[in-house]
Amino acid sequence: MGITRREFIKTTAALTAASMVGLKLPGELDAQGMPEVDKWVRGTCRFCGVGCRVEMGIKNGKPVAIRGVPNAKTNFGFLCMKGMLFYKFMRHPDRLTKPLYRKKKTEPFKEISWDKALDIAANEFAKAIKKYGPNSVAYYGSGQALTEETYLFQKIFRGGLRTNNVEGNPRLCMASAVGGYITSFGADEPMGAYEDIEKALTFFIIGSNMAEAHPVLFRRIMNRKLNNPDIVKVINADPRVSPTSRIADLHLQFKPGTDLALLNAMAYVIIKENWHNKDFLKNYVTFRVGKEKKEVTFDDYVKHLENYTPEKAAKICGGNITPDKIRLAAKWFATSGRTMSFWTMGLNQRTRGVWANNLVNNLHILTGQLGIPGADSFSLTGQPNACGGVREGGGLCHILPAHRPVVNDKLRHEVERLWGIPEGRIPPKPGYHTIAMFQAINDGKIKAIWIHTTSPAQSLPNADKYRHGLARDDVFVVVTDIFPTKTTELANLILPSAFLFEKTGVYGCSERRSQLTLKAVDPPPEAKPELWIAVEWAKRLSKKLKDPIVYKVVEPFDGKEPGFELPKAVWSEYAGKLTKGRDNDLSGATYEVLMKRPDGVQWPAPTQEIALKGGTYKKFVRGIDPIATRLAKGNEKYVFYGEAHKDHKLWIWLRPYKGAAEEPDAEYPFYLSTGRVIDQWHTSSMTGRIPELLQSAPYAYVEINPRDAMRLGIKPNDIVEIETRRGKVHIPAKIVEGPMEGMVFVYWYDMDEDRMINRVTKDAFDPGSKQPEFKICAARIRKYSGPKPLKPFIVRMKKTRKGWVHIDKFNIKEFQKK
Amino acid sequence: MKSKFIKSVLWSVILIGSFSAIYAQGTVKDEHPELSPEEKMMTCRGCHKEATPEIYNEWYNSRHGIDNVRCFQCHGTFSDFHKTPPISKCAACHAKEVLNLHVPENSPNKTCWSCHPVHSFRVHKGK
Amino acid sequence: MPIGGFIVNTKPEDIQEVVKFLKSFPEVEVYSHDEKGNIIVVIETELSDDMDELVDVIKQNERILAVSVAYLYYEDEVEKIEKGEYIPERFRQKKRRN
Repeated sequence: MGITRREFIKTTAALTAASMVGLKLPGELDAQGMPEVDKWVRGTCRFCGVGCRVEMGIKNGKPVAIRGVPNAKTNFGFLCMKGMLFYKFMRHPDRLTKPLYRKKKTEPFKEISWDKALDIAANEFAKAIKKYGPNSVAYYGSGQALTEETYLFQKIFRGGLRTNNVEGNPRLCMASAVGGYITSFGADEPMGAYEDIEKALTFFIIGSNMAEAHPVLFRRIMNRKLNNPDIVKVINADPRVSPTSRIADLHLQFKPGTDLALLNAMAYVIIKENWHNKDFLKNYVTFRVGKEKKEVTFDDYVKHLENYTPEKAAKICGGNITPDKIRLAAKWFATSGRTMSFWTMGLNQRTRGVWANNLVNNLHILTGQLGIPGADSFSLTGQPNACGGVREGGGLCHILPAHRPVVNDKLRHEVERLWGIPEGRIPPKPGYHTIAMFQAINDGKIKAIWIHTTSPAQSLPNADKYRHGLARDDVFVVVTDIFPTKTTELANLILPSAFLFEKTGVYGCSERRSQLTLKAVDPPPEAKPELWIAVEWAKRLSKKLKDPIVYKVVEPFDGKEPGFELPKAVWSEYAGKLTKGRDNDLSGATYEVLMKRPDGVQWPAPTQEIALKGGTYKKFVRGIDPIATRLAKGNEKYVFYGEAHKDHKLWIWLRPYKGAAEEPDAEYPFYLSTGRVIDQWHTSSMTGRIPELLQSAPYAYVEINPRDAMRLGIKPNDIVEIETRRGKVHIPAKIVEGPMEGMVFVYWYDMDEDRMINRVTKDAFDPGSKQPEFKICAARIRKYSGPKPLKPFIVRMKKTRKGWVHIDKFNIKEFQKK
Repeated sequence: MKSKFIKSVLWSVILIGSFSAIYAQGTVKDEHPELSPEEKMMTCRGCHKEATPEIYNEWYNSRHGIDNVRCFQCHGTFSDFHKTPPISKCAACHAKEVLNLHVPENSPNKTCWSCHPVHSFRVHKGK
Repeated sequence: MPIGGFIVNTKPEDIQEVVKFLKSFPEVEVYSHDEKGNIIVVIETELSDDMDELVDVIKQNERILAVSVAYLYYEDEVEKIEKGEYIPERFRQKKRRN
């Protein structure tokens, strides 16, 4: 052995003494330097859309450690601070463990049994349906729910309760990307995959702070750049200088919303310089414009781009945009041979989100930077399962499982057949989209809503407006969650659910990759997996509505063991029956196959053989994509078989520049934008309960440009009042060369009423995707006071003599009066 | 006679004590210098940018720094502070390397920073 | 050089103070402690007599409730003792009692 004998003896002495008093020496490791555990269980990280594969270390039935899976193709063993630490809140004392109920929202909650809780839930929904019809009930789900959960809930609502009022928080997150992909490529989700990163030569990162929002994926770009500093180019396009800009060779800073002009100008330069791929355009591309999708010519496109010369665009964009910078960006983009674009909310959370997506897709189509290694137009997904569960599982009001539009009669009836329910059960029109859904609650049209694993009371734009609806006593609100949140404060019934690793299920991440997480520990007593909750609820509903079809939709799952057999059965139906033959074919990716894989399976994976090898790395490429291979004719290299494009072509859209819904003016001269930080996930209801992360990011800040700060006399940590037409909040200032002059940027994770920024953001939305414009609205700021000792705030509950209450300065009684 | 007795006493004590042959990195939690409650609300890097600028810069310009791997992930926070982190913290992301470190043939007393200078963690090949 | 593993007991509120005190001795290495006030230390001295003396000094700190030995390893002293070259004080005392 290499350690000295003395060292060994000293260690033995210490261990002996320690064991006599039952003390563990810290950092105790097994012989190999790993934390001591009984077993490691494989799964997926609970947070962002990268889909890191992790193993949870279990000791004595409790989660005690997490490590990355070194041979997983998403993260290669790496984790960010959230992924590294989330085992710490699984047994947090704030965990919801008992069903809680109150008839009136001003009362405290009483603990009730599951039997009673499910009865009440069934009663209230049945009551609403009988009195007001099926469209008076709704489901608002989440990109953080398991695919099996989203699939089963939407099956119950659509096939059982006969309403398409099925929505989810990806509407706030990814809807524009979905719209962009479907209109540009004919089908949703990226063509390529993460592995294109290691082959790319130019990275175009726009509207994304990957370094904080997708850190483990950013790591791969960082390494690619730092290992090849001279040949790899990174362009960062963002009105804000962020940690992502650190590796950028070129930072394009433009006024929020003007990226449409910038992207069009890049296309103009590409064509002027003859950098476009004429062969690709000839064989695979058409040009479209307007609602009617009118087909136009390449020359029409060129004429359209005359409005966006670099000079004209630079004028529109402001910031640091010069015609030369536009030309340089276009050059690096078009001539690298392999360019990858990445974006998230900067492009999606806009009233022109679909257009912004189209314009990035346009650049790739124009230069043929698709379908080849290292080139892709890659939309980063924010949540771990927005793709797999909601976009693919049928979790938005207008799409059924496996990318079937509700309005398509043939496909809708196909789903009814696959479900074994009578034709006509599923309504032929889409339900309410998210903003419309919560507006319908305000208008008294929706009487009962089930909110699952998300907190719209904090995450909706213009939040107070919709909190009024949820706070109504004639609206029955059920919330399934693991912790108290701003939304449980408005609930009638709170159902404690099992967390990831306390239940089995699939998450599908940004690169079309579905990965399985196995149950590793039991949930805290009385918390239940949502699949079990859904089945039991549906059974009762069926009786109360005297409608056997409501039972039929859950019958294959009734009585199944909830830890593994139940999710397996749901997945078998979804993947094996509903996705079979569709573009997101996952029928080859059975649970057995998923368990054999270190990471997961990328669709299409129509057979087990293909799935065992990992599935399809790149869509539409003959020889790589089994569907393209099957459909290919002659010697075409690609088959763009997306269902939305009957001509099997990629479409370049002629999109103009149009500004945001609410731009700065004399009264409200600042752009207000919002976003995330690496330390806190979304509403911080989970990460805020990890001491290290709360200490690292205890409350929201408003980032202010130093020149604006100087002008307004604002110093670091001063409390700043941010006011919009919808209200005001008070947030400490961070003076940083971050947002451009005339713009402020606020972190949205803070639950404190006075610092909750979504109370003042605007709920304007993209007419195509219905996604709200969180990224741009108009505000005025002023110094409110000097620095104050602030306290971080996380919503908790406490048991009083009268029952369980939330501890929050938000008071529902007073709020109802407003 | 006397020496035999002493010997057996000594050796029995040794035997009783040496049943635990696990190699453990038992380092006690260190104490961070005293801070006021307001100072404690600062992020590690917020303070250390001024307090220990060389270390801060080494970290900031390293791959950890660019990819937002932050101080507390290795060093813990005030209640769990380690000046020199136990290797188990590295194992969260670098499990394969930590496992290889402790293969007996490769001198198991090694730590990551036996070869990779702390905070900058440059790889040997001069990258 | 003998090596000894000890449990030092103190009241929970005195832990930090006592740990500081223990760390002030170069021969003492503090390994760990729990919230109940058990502190695990390892002491390494030239001779056993030195160790006994050091333990006595430590015991005199009024914040320390007890020092219990868990493990003693005489190391190279064993040879010396066998040869009769050195007899630690504690053995001499024992012998007298006998």
